[in-house]
Amino acid sequence: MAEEYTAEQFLAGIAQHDESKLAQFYDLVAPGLYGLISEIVPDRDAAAEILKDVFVRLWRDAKRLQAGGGSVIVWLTLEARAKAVDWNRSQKGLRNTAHARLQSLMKFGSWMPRPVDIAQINERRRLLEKLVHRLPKPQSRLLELAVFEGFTESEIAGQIEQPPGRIEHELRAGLRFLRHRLRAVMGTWSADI
Amino acid sequence: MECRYLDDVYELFLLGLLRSKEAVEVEEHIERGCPYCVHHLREAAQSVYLLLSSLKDRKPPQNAKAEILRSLQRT
Repeated sequence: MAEEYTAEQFLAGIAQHDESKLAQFYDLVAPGLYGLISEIVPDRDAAAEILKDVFVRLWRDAKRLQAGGGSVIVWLTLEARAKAVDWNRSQKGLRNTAHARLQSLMKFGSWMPRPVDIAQINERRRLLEKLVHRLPKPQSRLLELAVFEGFTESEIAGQIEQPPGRIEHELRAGLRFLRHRLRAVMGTWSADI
Repeated sequence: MECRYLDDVYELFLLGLLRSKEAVEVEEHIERGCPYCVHHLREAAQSVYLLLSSLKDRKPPQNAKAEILRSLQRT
């Protein structure tokens, strides 16, 4: 029976510059990451280049990521999204700061979800995804524009010709909906400290 | 600014979509290790991860893996 590794075990191997571990990890996670990147970046070559950048960065930063103790899967997902959004925005002549923001935050890694947090999300994924699809359609659309297109609240307001205050209210309500349901499903309702 | 006024902004902050003034506030709290803000940012990262990882997988181009492994030699 083939040995199964966790993402963090792969990360440990990659931190030791074991190329075979990177190759195996790529097989495991690249389709999900490429699915995300190509949702945001319609240009196939650019999407492939971004995927490459993400893995090269993983290779370079693996030791630091391992020392931080956060989930490497979350890091990969956020990194892929930030690079893809920045590419998209630069194509449209818009300011692109998503990756710079993430880089700046990585200096204070204690906020990164732990592997155990992500394992719990994955265990309850089917239920959680049903909840995501229960978002009211207008809020769902705003979330798409923010999360996948990388538009700010004021840019969204300009795009769909709605008052900025209304967009702010609806977008934040959508995020609050998601956050509260995540808390309920994960049993972390009393998480306020 | 007190943490409770930042309750609805952590996801937007993480995504790089927050107005400068609010973003500076959150960043200052994170930099000084504010437990409330660190906790809520972690929670926001989980929400964002859930959204981002809900898409369909897509097979990367065939030569992508080989290109990545070749690039490693240059790092």
